[in-house]
Amino acid sequence: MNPWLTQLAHTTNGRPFTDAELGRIGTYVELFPDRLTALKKLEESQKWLVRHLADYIAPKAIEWGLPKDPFSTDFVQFLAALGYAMLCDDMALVEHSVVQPCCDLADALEIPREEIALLFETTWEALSPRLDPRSAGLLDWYFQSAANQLRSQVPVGV
Amino acid sequence: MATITELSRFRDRYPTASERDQLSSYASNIGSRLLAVEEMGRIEADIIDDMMTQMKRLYPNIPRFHTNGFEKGYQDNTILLQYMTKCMLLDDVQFLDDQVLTWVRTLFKSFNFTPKFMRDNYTTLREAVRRRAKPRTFALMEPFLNHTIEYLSDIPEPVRPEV
Repeated sequence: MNPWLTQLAHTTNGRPFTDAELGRIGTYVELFPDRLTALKKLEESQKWLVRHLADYIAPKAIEWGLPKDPFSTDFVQFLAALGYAMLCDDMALVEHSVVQPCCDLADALEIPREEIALLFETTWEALSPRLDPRSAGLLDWYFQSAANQLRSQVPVGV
Repeated sequence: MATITELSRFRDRYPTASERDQLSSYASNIGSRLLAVEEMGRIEADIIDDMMTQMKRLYPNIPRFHTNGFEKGYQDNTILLQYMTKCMLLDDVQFLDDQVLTWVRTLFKSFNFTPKFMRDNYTTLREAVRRRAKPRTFALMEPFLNHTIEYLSDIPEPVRPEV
């Protein structure tokens, strides 16, 4: 799935961009350095996040009937995908690259999706104070959206 | 080179420092690019009139070989200039190749156009932009105009030229 700007560029063959499209592109690109900074902060937090998540998930794993922490490292990859969606300013990528894979993982491990939603919220509560306000402001929407979408997804067969 | 239309490369990895620098540099210049797009839209018809006047003088026999050849020239050169302007905004020459130049070159080869005709056509277009646009706008457009000249004139000499 391509980000909105790539899709826009590909689907406007044979005509110039409209004023509305140019306005959206201009606004997006002007703020792009802030998005790059926020992504860099997320990258710099990766090791810390893995440790934090392992501490949080280990006792939960027992509740979930799993022998050990099943996915701290994988979950940090989902956070990277969330950062990619923020970089692209594309909420559709959250569902495609984060929510759907998380649902698949939760279902495979027989963990309630609500637990994964809580994991996003808990992670964000711990991570956001470590970020500058601008980066936190850009990422907040995506963390909240991932948690909300996870709660609203109905498992297959229900 | 990292471009704004190729962000999908960061789906599975973070940008490198070099890629971040390239994208930040592009972003810092977006205001000038948007102004250039606005100007190009305003003067596009004048540019095409200018270049087609020259091409009619250089290649008066085109209508003998190609029905409505000059009328099509207006249309095709307008579309191509719009693509170049769009790619200037996105700062993405690869996008220009992928979206238009590759298939246009194939099409024009089938018309038995010569490499010299192609070079003259797009050089004339570049010079019309140079005359009509502000220097700042021309400077942003020039790499895409030059790329188009080189890319589209890279065709074999036809057995029976029709120009």
